[in-house]
Amino acid sequence: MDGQVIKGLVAIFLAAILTENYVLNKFLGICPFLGVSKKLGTALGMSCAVTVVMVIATAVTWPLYVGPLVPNGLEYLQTVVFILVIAALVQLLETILHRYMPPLYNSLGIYLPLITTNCAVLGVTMLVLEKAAGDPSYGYIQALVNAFGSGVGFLVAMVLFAGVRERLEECDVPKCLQGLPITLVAASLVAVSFLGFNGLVDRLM
Amino acid sequence: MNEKTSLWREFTKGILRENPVLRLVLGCCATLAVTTAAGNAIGMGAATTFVLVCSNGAISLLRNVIPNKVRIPAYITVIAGFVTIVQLFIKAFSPELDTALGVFLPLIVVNCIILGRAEMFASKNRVLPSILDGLGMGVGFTATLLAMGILRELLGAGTVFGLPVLSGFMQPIIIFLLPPGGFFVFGMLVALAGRLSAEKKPPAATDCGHCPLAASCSINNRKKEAGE
Amino acid sequence: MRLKIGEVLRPAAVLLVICTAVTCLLAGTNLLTKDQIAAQQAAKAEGSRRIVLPGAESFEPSESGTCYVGLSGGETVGYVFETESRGYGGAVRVMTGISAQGAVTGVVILEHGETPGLGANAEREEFRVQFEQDVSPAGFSVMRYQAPGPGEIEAMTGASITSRAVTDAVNQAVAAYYQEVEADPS
Repeated sequence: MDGQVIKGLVAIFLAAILTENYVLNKFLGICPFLGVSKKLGTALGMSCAVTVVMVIATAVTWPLYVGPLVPNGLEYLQTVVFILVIAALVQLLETILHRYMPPLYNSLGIYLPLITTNCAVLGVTMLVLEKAAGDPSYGYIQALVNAFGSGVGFLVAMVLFAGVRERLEECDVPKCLQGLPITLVAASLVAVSFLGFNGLVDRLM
Repeated sequence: MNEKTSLWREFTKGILRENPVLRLVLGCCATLAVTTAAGNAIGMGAATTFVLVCSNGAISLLRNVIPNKVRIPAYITVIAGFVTIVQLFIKAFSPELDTALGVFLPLIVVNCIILGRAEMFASKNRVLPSILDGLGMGVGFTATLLAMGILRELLGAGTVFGLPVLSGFMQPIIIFLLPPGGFFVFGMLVALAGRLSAEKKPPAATDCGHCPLAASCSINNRKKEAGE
Repeated sequence: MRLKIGEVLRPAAVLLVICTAVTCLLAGTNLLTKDQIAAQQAAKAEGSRRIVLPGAESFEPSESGTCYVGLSGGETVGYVFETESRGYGGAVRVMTGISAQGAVTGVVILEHGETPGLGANAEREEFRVQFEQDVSPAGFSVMRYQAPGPGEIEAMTGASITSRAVTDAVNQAVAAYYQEVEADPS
């Protein structure tokens, strides 16, 4: 692997975390972002589980798409096949963890059932294919790095936001804004700070 | 209560009382992502409503056939099928809408509103109420998207449905078109809906109560075991 | 834990039937919409080519395969190029039409991820129309805060990176144009 490729991979990884952050820039995976970011521990567990599933799902759906689907003109089955693969994977992973690795199951496995309907996972498997369609140098490795970076980006957003929310708990919020509204305003401010990264990664390279 | 009024209630509850986005806080991803323009909001709302009505109808029809064990994969397959049908038709007849909605069009599959209604309503009710429930929820979803789309487009670009409204009156505030503006407008609308809604109780967004997978979720089961 | 065969087979069979039914339904819908989708895509590409090279009556792929040749009454009136560069929010894809006389006849932004209200303004007529002038092999340069002369493009307010990205893409098209003309002097 030559330097240019590695440089490209680093750029993809950083971009996935900072400028193309799934939660704060692309609005994917908002439900868990609002739902389980109340405590740092759950936020961490959930995002680690999401990262793992994202990488495995991309690793499985990519060859499925370029293998059996495209040559047979079956691209239109993409949505159905991908969501079923993700659902099956999640189920399989949960069973394996439960059976053979109880400690890991206790920290990560319990979030797995929620991940089937996490749009960030289905989103990443589709977005990497979209990117590959527009860029011939974008291959399987790039897709996997992108998926991993997106998961880490999700983790960064969740952990940062969990910190913000723990502070919010102690604040005196006007009655009509209590609960979800003030959480969304806080999310808005975190998103503003992520806007600052825009354009950064391309300049670094 | 006679049957007609109860059917009417199934339809109207989705619009404000149990508005899927503002009260049940489902399907937020699509709500935030595609509402940079009012036109996109209507397209997304219509596509989701179609899938919601069809999948509610189909799942209600099949509710006695589908074994409990595999119901979630079965629902997901049915929903994904309808989503792909919508996707193909939009590609064929409105490629601009397809470009504008992008990846969020196939992502209707994982819009929790649809799986949520399948699990909570269609799997337990007859076909007609299920279809009306889907229609009402769809209309509520579309109305919310439209409200957000109009607000964000008006403030962020000074236009509504692409027609200049604010030109010369004020400079557009671009941040409303960007992700932070989406979160902010959504927050304000949730606060407003909380005010308008008769119950006056804050939406239970911050726990798992409305999650469509709550029944099969191990976090919940664990809480139950712990006697919480 | 012992499972009865029926307990496993029945759910599996139901799931299989549902999957098969959904697949058949989709295959039908695909058959119904396939031609329409292909026609829409072709019409869109053709429409963009007509905008950037209005003088041409028909287009065909060039021999080198890098561009489209615009024809009118059997004569080559110009070339259409699709190029790409990096903007503020990812790739910016641009279609450029250049006449046989060496003037840019039109520029269309095919795809971009620029900020709405700032970089996305590159889609507007006022910015794109600046490119429609004679162009030397050196291409265009971007100017800020002053009136542009020949071969110069005035950057959009608050979006100099996007302005530069679009200009880069057009310059790639200009370079490809001169290569194409040298290879085929007719």
